[in-house]
Amino acid sequence: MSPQLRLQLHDAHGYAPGETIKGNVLVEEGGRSRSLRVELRYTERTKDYSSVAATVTSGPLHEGDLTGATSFEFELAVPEDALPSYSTEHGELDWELDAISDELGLDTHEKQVVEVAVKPRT
Amino acid sequence: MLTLRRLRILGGKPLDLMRKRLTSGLEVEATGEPIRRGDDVEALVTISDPAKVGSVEVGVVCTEYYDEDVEQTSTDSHGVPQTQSSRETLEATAHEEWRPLEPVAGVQSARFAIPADAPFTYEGDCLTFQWEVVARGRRRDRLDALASTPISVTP
Repeated sequence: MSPQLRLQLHDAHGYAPGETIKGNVLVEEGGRSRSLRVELRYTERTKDYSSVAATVTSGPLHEGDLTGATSFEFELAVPEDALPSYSTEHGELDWELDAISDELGLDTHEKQVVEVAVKPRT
Repeated sequence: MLTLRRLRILGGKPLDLMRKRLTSGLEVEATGEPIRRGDDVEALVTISDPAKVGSVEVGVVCTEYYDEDVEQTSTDSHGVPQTQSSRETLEATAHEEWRPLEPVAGVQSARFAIPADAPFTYEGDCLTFQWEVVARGRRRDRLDALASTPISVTP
């Protein structure tokens, strides 16, 4: 059985380049897992295609099966040169957090879009 | 790596490519790069032969290139409809602003504001925003004259 995950951010506001995103991965239901990690990805999407342009990873937060009602803290730094989110009628660019349970077969993902603001003028 | 998609974007529309190759007497450049959204860009247009370029205007244009599956339906030899899907790079104008120029020889300038909420220059695998300053001359009974230069717009 796959685990059920939930992402919980300490600050739900938008983030600036260079700022650190802090949060927890809550394991709502336990399950088989090889490891747990969180990734922050800059993703481009159109109606039919998507591609990841940049990835920041937490590294393993836990290794082995996940037990329900447990929580794992993570911290991920938004890159200093991070581009902001943008969307049009045909496509979008955004930053997305993804809690990933690496499993035999299909991995479990819990995703959440985070707002990254434009870097202030210096 | 020069992918087919990149070649498609670099080349632009085939007719525009032909217009650029056949254009003489019209040049355009931009000053103040890189330009941040909310800032201005100045376009400098040189008309060396007004008779060749017709009625000239200068503009700043952002083109969005996006990949989608496009379905094409044809009929096989038995009259049965066949649908095939292929990945295509489509384009849309994300922003454009144009100003007329005087039809005289010499250098003319025009200043354009890049809106703060416009796209920024981005080149991805399935989504690209490309900015350029363009000068075009409308000509009767001939292909329009066209000159352009890419600009970099940062967030």
